[in-house]
Amino acid sequence: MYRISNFQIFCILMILVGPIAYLEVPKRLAVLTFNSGWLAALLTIIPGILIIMMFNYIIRKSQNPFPLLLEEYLGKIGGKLLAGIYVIVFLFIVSFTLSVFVNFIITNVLPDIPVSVLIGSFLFLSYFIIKNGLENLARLSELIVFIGLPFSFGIVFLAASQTLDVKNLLPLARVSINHLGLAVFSASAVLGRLFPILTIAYFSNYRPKVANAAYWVLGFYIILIFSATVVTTLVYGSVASTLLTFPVFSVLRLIKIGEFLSNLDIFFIGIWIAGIIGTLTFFWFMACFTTQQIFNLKGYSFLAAPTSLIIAVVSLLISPNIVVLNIINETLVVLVYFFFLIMIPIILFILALFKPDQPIKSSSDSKGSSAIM
Amino acid sequence: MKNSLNIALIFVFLLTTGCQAVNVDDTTVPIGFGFEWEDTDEFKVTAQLAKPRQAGEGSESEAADEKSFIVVSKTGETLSMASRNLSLILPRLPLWTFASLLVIGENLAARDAALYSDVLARVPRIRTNIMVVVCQDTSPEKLLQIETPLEPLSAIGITKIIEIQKEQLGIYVPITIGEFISKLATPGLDPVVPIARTAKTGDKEQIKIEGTAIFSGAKMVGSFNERESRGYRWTIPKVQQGGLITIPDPTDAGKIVVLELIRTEAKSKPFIDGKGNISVNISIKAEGNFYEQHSGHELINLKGFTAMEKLAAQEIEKEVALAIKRSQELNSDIFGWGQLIYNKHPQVWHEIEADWYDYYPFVNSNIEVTFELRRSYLTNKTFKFR
Amino acid sequence: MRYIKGQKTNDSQPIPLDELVEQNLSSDLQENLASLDRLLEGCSDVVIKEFEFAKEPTIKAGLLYFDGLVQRSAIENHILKPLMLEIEKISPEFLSIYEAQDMLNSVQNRILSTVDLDTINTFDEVCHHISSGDTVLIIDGYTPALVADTRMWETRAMETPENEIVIFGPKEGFTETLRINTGALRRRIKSTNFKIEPFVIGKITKTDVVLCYINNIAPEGLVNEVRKRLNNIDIDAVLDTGYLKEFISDNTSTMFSEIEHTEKPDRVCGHLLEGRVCIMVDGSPMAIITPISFPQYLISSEDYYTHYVPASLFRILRAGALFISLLLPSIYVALITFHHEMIPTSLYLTILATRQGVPFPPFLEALMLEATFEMLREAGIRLPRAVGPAVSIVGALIIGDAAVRAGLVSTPMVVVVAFTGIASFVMPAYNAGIIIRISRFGFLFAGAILGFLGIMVALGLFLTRMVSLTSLGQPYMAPIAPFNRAQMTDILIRRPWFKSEKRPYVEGMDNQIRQNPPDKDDGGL
Repeated sequence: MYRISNFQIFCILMILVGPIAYLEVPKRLAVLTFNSGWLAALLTIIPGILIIMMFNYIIRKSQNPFPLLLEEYLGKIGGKLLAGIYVIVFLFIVSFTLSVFVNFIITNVLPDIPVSVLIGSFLFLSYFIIKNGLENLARLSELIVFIGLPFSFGIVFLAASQTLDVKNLLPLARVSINHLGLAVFSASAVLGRLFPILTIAYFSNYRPKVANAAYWVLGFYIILIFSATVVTTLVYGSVASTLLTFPVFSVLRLIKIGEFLSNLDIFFIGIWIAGIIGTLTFFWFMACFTTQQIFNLKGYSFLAAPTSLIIAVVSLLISPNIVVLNIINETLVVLVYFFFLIMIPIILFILALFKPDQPIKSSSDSKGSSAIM
Repeated sequence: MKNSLNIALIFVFLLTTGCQAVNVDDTTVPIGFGFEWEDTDEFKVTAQLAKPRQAGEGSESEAADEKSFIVVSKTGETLSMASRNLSLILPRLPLWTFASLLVIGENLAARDAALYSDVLARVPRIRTNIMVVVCQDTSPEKLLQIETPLEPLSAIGITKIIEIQKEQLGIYVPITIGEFISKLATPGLDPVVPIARTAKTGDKEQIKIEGTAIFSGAKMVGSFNERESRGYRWTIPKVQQGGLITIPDPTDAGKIVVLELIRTEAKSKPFIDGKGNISVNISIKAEGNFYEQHSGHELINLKGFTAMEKLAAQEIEKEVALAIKRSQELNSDIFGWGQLIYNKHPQVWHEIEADWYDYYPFVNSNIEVTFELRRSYLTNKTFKFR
Repeated sequence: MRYIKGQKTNDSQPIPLDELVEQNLSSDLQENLASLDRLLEGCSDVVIKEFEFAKEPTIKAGLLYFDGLVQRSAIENHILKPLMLEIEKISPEFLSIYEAQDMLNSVQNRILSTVDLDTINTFDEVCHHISSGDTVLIIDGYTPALVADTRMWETRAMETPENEIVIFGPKEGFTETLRINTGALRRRIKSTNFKIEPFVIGKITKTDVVLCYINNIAPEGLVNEVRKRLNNIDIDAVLDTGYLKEFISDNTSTMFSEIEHTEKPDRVCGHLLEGRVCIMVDGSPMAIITPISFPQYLISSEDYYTHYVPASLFRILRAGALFISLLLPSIYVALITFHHEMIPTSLYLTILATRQGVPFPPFLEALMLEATFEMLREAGIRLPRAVGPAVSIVGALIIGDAAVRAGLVSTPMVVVVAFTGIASFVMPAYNAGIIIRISRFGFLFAGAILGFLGIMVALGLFLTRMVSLTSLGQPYMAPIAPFNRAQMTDILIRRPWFKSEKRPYVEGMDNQIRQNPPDKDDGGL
């Protein structure tokens, strides 16, 4: 069976967390904490470390990858039931991510393209990737990270070379504790997206160090949202950046290179697309994989076709307009992330605490991994 | 086989749904555009459209003394309506993203920023990193009709004039739509925008940048003259480079000396004393070079330099005081003092935010200027006739 | 005539040829020659010489070879002369011992003076050897026939390969003769670990194929796998290494080339020393190298002979050219169809002016020009030298000038296509460029339908396909995805030789040490 390296795990986790967070988190932080968003971004490191430690503990304590892991703790029926709910959650995440991004593209870049074409082409690409299997998904995510990460920082640096006003950060760190807490909460809820580590850790070729990959992701995530928040605040000031739909994108629109190249947003969006496709695909993969494990199916790739229809329909229905989308984004999504990707792992963690220690079996004989290839 | 079928299907699907591509031939490039409020209670949108020109054909059309742009304008109930109304007279699609200048008419500026700021912030086709000017004593339509020397497209010409005078003369500060909107949206900070006017030289009309439009809240309330505009420029917290300043000759009161600015930077600090008096300390640090003198007296020595530094500091202080005085008269917080108070004393700011404009005219300011002369270019002695 | 018992009954009915081939030679010369006559019927270039040698009694012998494949003087000097003239001088005692079975042995070991001498038993072998240019000597009364290597045919000298021109480094290229080629390799790698394993592939052509590798560097599993795949080939003919390519590749359905071609021995050696294997076929100057990953196509053998800084810069340039030749036309079409705002204003005004009156939409314009360019390129390969300049002038004038003047195409499009064309020649590997040339049209299509978005989706499909490929088990995008830090130092940048302590890793490789790290204290002044 194929093993993925820890670096590939880092890349997968990075594209799970990075792109959409980069687009949305600065806005949420700006709304909640005005010009102290950077503080919230920095503080996210504490819950971040706790979350990763928790995931790591569960991985070390359990013998099977994620959907089977539920059965390990909750019994066969309970586990399968919860895994079934997770399939729905994953599909919801895919649909929602898709509709957010499609809305983003339509409002900002390509207003003339019909939604169906966008959704269709994204889903087709994701479908093609899933058909090619986890191995190639891992390799592809490496490519995406190689291109995407430098560009994400490139945006920040280029934007920093534009008109900045350091005064915008003043008053320094003045924010009510409630708002700060909320901001940290919403920034760390995104880290729930690290959840698939519970599955892919079992494919790692060196499992004891899997957590390191997650810590690196956390580091990059903090740096990303910190720099993005700081730069948007510096460029637009706290008030204006709360008004903008996608502050980072608006910063991007200001970028001018050498008085000649400007309006490069479409180019950067092209790279964003790669990241978003990665995110979509991986959660979609998780949905298919979980379904496969629940019903003990032979493979997961054939599930991609029927689920694509569900995703397409849901993502069309979920976003009748931008207002509804924003409401879902600010409430339901945060709750879903928090409950399913953080709360349930916490429960698992507590269960794992009381579970007697067992020697880790070599994972080649575990059920889930053998089904991959 | 199955895969290729899939791919074929998706292509068919894409081809049939299609998306409206814009043919290049059907587009036109508005280099600059202007908003104005007409007396008929309508908005007027003016666009300066560049005529497509082959690279090699430049000389021919210049020989014909033809303008390389045309100006179209149309009115409508709102700005977006007016700009779309252009399509009633224009067989091309204007691509607003290419515009590099926005001219706001005086009437509209004096009316209400709410009338145009929303469009500017919301419509993705308008880039927010382009320059804004206000036109006075003329309308955007007339202004954009006039050619600038050498630069065939006058909208670009205006932006270049502003950019170049910033370094050479150092009077007006360029502002982009983004900065303009963000200043409008920020409490305790009002925007200033350079003013473009027309001037007659001989029988030919010319565009000229003169004065600065001062906004208070959402309205333009008045303007600065050249000296006040420079006074404003001294107070900008960001480092400014370039510019000239004239001072009286310390040895010969009738004559003047010109100093060139290397850089200037201002730091402002608000103070609130026990009685609730608000004052702002502005400390300006400037550096300059000795550039020109008329008298034959030796100025390039320690004594002369100290004297000139002192005079320059006085001059700067005078200009800043003028600007502050005028802004307080107009009740426009262009220096961002409200923002300063918010930054330093957020508590106080929350109490006074609502009626900040009642406090503003009575804010005391202490100006502190240090000017340092550095170099004297190619001669290090005064030119003497013998 | 003597008759062997079993054959008597078959005498009236000659045995079919394909059975005859399998049979062993008999000890009777006439019978053998008769059978060979049947086998070689219609082969006008065969020479069968019967002669006698020794005295009292004389021994009959037959000599067979194909004219045109042998060095006649070698036959005359080293086979006929010793046997017919010098026999007594060489072994005076010969007469007394000739009756023994040893006679053959003495002929083989003491009389014939050719170097490469062997014995063969079957007609099949006889035929195979003479068609390879050997000379077969059949002595009446003795069974294994002797075969002497007298190969010599007209061959091209080792010249500079026309398709892989380099400025620095060896200029030599392979020829069509396998032995010369292996010799060129052996001359460069003077190690007994350098193995050249022979194969004969092709049921009719019986082509010599060799598998070259360095024993303690190339991973065992890789060599075994290639060997297995070569042994499994059951084709009737192999005329070029290109035939074998498809049998050895992992993915036969893809147009991505998983195998590198080269005509340069130094390049082959470079790959062999990095643990790859090389296959060469007699009659083809092309060696194929496997496993190869796509990023390695950016490497020219020249890089290793020049300073590492310019070499690295050139590699980056090549990577840029790769993207340009893949994406530039599609990006241009996407820009002027969908994303006008990205074009700088002054440039847009120029494009606007040049496109006035062009009747075709940008996509069609690009497609036409690209197709024309490909046609010119294809024509250029096949043009006789004499008419070459004429066609290129017509191409340049028609496309470059007349079409623009007539308003059929716009100037920027011509510039874009020309630039793309030039960029596509930057890739050192011609066969890797083919997929780029073809995919360019796909991207063009995607860009014209969905703009940048379409290009990104197409790029996604393209990359997904690329990462899913393997070349003999090695991932096709190897050092990039899956990422390998050690190998990455020799992809986009060229590692300085003094820093290359390890070989780039090929999966399964044990022996990775290239040189011991230089002792730091040693050279201290």
